[in-house]
Amino acid sequence: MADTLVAMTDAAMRDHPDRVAVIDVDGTTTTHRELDRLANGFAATLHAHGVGPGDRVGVCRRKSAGTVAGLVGIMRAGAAYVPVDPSSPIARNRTIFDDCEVSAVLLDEDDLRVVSPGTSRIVADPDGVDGFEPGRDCVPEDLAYILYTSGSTGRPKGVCLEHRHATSFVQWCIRTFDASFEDRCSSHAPFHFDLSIMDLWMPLSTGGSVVLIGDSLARDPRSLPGFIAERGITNWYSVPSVLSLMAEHGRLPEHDHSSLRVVCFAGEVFPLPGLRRLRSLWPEPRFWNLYGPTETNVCTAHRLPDTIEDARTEPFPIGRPCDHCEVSIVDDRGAVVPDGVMGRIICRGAPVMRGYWGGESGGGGPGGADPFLEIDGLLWYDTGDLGAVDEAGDIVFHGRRDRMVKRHGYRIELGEIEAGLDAAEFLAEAAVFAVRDGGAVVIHAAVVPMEGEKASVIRLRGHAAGSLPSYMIPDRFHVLDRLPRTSTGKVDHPRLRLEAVG
Amino acid sequence: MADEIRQAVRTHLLEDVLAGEDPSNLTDDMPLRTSGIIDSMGVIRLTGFLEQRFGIRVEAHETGVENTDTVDAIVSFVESKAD
Repeated sequence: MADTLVAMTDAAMRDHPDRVAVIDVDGTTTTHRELDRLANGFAATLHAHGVGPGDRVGVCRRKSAGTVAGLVGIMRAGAAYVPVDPSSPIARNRTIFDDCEVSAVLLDEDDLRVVSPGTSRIVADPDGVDGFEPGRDCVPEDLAYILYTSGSTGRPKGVCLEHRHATSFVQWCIRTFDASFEDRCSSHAPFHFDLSIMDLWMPLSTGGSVVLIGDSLARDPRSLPGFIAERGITNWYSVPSVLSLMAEHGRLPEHDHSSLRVVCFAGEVFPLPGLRRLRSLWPEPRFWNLYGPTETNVCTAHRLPDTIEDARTEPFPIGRPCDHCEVSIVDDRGAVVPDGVMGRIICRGAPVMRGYWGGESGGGGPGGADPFLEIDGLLWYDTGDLGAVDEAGDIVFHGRRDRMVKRHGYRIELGEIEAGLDAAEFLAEAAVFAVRDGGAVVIHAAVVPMEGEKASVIRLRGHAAGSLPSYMIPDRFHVLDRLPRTSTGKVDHPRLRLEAVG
Repeated sequence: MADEIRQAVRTHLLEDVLAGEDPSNLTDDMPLRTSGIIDSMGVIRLTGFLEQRFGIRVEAHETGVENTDTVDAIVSFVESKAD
């Protein structure tokens, strides 16, 4: 069995050269043979710039067939890809590229500001070429990609995944969803988001098609249903909020969705009312609730029933451990808790990351501590999530232990929002907290303006939009004279909540 | 009619994305989309609000910046749909 993403995609390109590999945002198709040539073009160009095994290459491009070929080309050259959101503030992307010391970056348009001087910038798509001879073949222990997630200190942290971590997950996907060359799989999530790993590498390993969904369409629940019908999508994968919005605003019954075979969601809890509505409008496809932090890929899964009982009031469980890893619920001392008792969700096995970039096991310079627990000589990744096993033997998710929240499937460390707000010249300090409102998470920011400055909500939102990704912008701002503090000088969060929201 | 629409749009924005803001700071020609004050989720909520409040049907391609960047633009858009 092929155990690198390079070997898996190579095999599909060899076996299904004339099938469509990528349907671009505008509907243009690229076959597996063409993708192969384009990827060689990228690999050869990177090689000519001195990129080789062990290097990192940044990707700051919009979704396109060329970008997909770029990702394949980076891995063929032996390097790991580091995708960022091209619409994020440039300073944040620069921080990421500097952190993992990329040796080159792929761009849509040239921009000096995105990387340090001297870093190679490869703009647009190189011409395709017939072959590429790597210096050495990619091995399962090579780094395949680094995905950056929100960090509590205000600096994003890089999750380092090797080829073997990715392939064990992709092979699980192929088995579980009966993937074939006839699939047309949605690519709704952006490439810097971990949902993209299945979106891209499952169909590209089986000879199927990746259906790219552009940035603005991805956020438009009114247009997505028509798009799903037009492209004949067979496998849908996204965060629940998109599906909820489609069920509510998308006029689903006006469209023919008979091509849909599998609907997967992950990234956050799917509130039951929206899920019930969607299930009644889409009774045919298999529905799966997937769970797993970026650090482990997907590690538990639950297949939903065909109809949702009226009596049900709780969200569905995250299910059972996938067969390529182990998942356990333990107490603070690392002992497995009895069924029904809440504990930490921990995971070990094939899909678990190497570590954080800059951490002990991730590589690079000094950086974040590794969140591994050693229990009886085995290393487990501690997800930071809480869960319990229910009567049916499924794991039920019970939220987070720390200051991380999830919105639209994105992990958000509240500390990173505080750091972004603190950067405003007109603010003395800021504290951020999250409030659950039904299924939604509402982010509040309490700010104290500098003396003589006025912090209007308009000014605050404008500043936040310039320094933070859109999913991190607080929903509510509270302008205070000072932040309440405990006797030790820390922000008194319970009192802050009372003062701000009552 | 325009005044009624304007008032309703302003109230929605002040409650939805500008809670706590002094209403006089929200001018009718202030850029809302291009400044980042309303994001894509805000547009979805705004569209849902306009449909419900004024009984109009808004198509997906009509929710771009040209129709939603300022209070003035939103009011003109709703007026054109209500005709």
